[in-house]
Amino acid sequence: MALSGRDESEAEVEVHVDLYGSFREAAKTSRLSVKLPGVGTVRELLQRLAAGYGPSFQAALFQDDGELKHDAVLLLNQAVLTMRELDRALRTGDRVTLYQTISGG
Amino acid sequence: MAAFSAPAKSGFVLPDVDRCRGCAICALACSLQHEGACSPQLARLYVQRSLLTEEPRLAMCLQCDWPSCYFACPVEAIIIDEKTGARVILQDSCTGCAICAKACAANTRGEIIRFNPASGKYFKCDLCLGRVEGPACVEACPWGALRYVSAVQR
Amino acid sequence: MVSQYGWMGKILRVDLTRRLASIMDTSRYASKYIGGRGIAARIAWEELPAGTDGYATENRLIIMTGPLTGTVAPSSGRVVFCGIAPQAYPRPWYTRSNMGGFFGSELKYAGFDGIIVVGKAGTPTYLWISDDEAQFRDADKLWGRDTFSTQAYLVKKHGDGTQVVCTGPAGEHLVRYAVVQSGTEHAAGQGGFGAVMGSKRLKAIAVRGSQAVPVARAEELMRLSNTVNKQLHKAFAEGAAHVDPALVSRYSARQRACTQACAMGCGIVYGNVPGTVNPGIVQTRVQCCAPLFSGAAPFYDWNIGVEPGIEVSALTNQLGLNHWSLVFGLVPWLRECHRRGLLKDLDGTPIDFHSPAFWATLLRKIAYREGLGDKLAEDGPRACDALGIGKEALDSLYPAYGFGGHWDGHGDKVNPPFFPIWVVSALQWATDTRDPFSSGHDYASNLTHWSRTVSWEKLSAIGERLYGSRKSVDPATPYEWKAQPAIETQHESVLKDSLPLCDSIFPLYYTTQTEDNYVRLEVPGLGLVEGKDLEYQLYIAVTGHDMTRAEFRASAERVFNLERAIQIREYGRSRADDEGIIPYFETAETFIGPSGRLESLDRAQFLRLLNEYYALRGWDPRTGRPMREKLEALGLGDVAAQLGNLIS
Repeated sequence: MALSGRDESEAEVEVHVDLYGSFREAAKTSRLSVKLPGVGTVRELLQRLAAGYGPSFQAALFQDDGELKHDAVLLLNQAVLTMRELDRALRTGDRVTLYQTISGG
Repeated sequence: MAAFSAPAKSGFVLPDVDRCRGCAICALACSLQHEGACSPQLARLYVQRSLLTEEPRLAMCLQCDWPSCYFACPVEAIIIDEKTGARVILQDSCTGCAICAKACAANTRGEIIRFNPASGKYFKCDLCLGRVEGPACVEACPWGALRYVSAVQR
Repeated sequence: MVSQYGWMGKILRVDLTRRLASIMDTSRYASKYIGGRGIAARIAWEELPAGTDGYATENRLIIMTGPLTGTVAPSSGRVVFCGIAPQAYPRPWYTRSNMGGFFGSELKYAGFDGIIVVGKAGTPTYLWISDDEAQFRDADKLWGRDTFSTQAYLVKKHGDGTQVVCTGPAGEHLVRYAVVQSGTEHAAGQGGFGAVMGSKRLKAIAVRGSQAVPVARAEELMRLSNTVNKQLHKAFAEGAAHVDPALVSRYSARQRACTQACAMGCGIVYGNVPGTVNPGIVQTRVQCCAPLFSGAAPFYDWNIGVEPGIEVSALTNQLGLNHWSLVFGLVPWLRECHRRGLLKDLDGTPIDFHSPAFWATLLRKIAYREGLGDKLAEDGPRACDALGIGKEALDSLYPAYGFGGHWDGHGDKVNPPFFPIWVVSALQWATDTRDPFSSGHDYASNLTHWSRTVSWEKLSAIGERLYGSRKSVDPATPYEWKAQPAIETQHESVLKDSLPLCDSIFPLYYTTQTEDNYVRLEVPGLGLVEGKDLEYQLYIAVTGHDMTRAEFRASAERVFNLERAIQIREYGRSRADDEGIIPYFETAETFIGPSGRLESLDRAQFLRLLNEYYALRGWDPRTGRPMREKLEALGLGDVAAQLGNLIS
């Protein structure tokens, strides 16, 4: 399934998104491709996903103050992303993974 | 026997069961406040959870407008606190006769007016007798499941 | 008695062989070993005979609360289970396991700080403990039952408010990762102590008490607890177990406190989930790693769906099997063996982790030791030995001692610490007797979480406060100043297992509420309390014990050294064993961190770090064993004497 709101003729990147846990539950899908305009950033990708999948998705990812939720893991390819990297530009073929951490109980 | 006229109204602690997470901090804070020790059995409120479903149950004194306990006490051991209106069992005067416990319509399970075997007396919620920060349970509940309702608001 | 506050003063001693119960005075141990894991270690040192096996009659199941259990101290309701653990590999040895729930607090209300169980009952037995007394009861009606129906029976019999720990069919069949269970999901998971119960024919312990835990400084305890809880709720206002309203309405899902006086509320209790494998309604708590049954993360991507995931989780609980061992160890190993063609099927049943019915079949076979389940009940390492397959996969999943990976950046593929955070994890693993992370999360998980929103500059400054140097946190100095945080985290773990306090809350170091992100709480009556001082303040508020901070930290060091002494006396533990952890960490990490590439452990650098670690601990770097003067300085002179020329 692809989400795209832009004119196909503009330069764009296409990234893969893998969703698990609450993200998958909110989106009702585990894999998707997203097309973003040429300078699409991680932040824009997340905004596009939250807009598409609603408040449950948003709530699983961000706290009220806009910081990443403590248990939300955001991977770009295999790298753990921090808030500072949300403005990193994506490239076609990048894989973004979202899931939640687990601890001992 | 107290004079047969309506006592001043009282504030009370109102539980919101939907917010309760069954941590029992309210009961532990209450017994700590009153007895200097932590014990659900010595709390002036009752909280219990079912072992498997973990459903919590709360029971708290509503400080009735027409307090049966107050009227029933044969030795006038129950007084109306001037600050809060709380219906208070004076521990020095209580003889442990249990008449108040039987008189209270909400007390069929002995959860509102409770017995302390060590002292041989009954005890109940006294709204922490106008403690500056308010009732200890309300202050301690991390989930906002307890709210103090004043006499005017009730 | 060191103090009339906190501790109840009595430890119940139970001999199942002779059906005798007696009482021991807690004061023997309280002042030097605090409670929980600390007191259990001393009892083990004094009593456990050499060479005892996990299933042996002479094994002790040591159940111990701490002085804070049963009080309003945040998340203090926990309890530990210690003894020779059947799960430990290659040989069962002494270690510990931790449980939340409400059994520990109820035990205190019944007048006991702990229970030491020895022997083996002639027929299935349970213990019924009420105020100050214990009775042996026949468990003939309970033996064979799952953990849910066992508890339902005991609550009905002994009344509302009864708390229970029990073992399920898995423990009865001596599965090496059988849990001690309370409620639907509270469990002492690691170690297989459920099998220790099973081996003793001890089906359950039920308790109900009416007593109070006395507190030395009531006002102070109340203010400290309220301040900590408010802080938690500011920090995690939208966080921990925020229940999706859709789950609430669809499955009657509720957030519930996990232990007495718990303000975190990790975990969700489901009241109404339709069964997939079995008809009916599933009711269970889901917490910790249980969401992984639904395939909630990469690698653990057997997506059987939310409802079957909850049902499988419940089945695991009913059978009394350890989630962690299954999800992080046995199942990935089994799946990998199947993928590589090393294992055809499960006694004729096709292996398919996307099938809920397969999971149910697998779990039952394990719990009842049927067919291949008999080998799988031995857990990954022993199954690998018995079947002669999958060693490479096994080594990638199990760091050491028979326990699956956890917060180590390698075998645990869901939690994402990255290099150099897991260098400290490696040190923690190296000198432990089991997975260190159940109560040793703080360094790894704090830095992994907080580095996503707070700069390394600020985190390093906090590292300087906590561990003595910015280098302890700065990714630019991966092998420098890492022994200090490892030691500090190990001691913090001892304290949390002894006081006890929950690892999900403590240590409370980081916050968004202050400029430098370091926790300082304004506590009425006490002034400003630093995050790292909270455990101490709670301890002295409850017990009134006039112990200094240095003495408090020394207690943790004492316990850690005592546990090491047990390892030396019983198993000849030495540096060579600690170095055994290295190959696991020499493989490439799972997640990329600030360096931008996949890192692996540098052996030479780590060996130098180990030297540093031993030196800081006052252990001989050649042997990895405490020096005599260190033990004597810790008040363990008798231990040093017994170790004789095993130490320098």
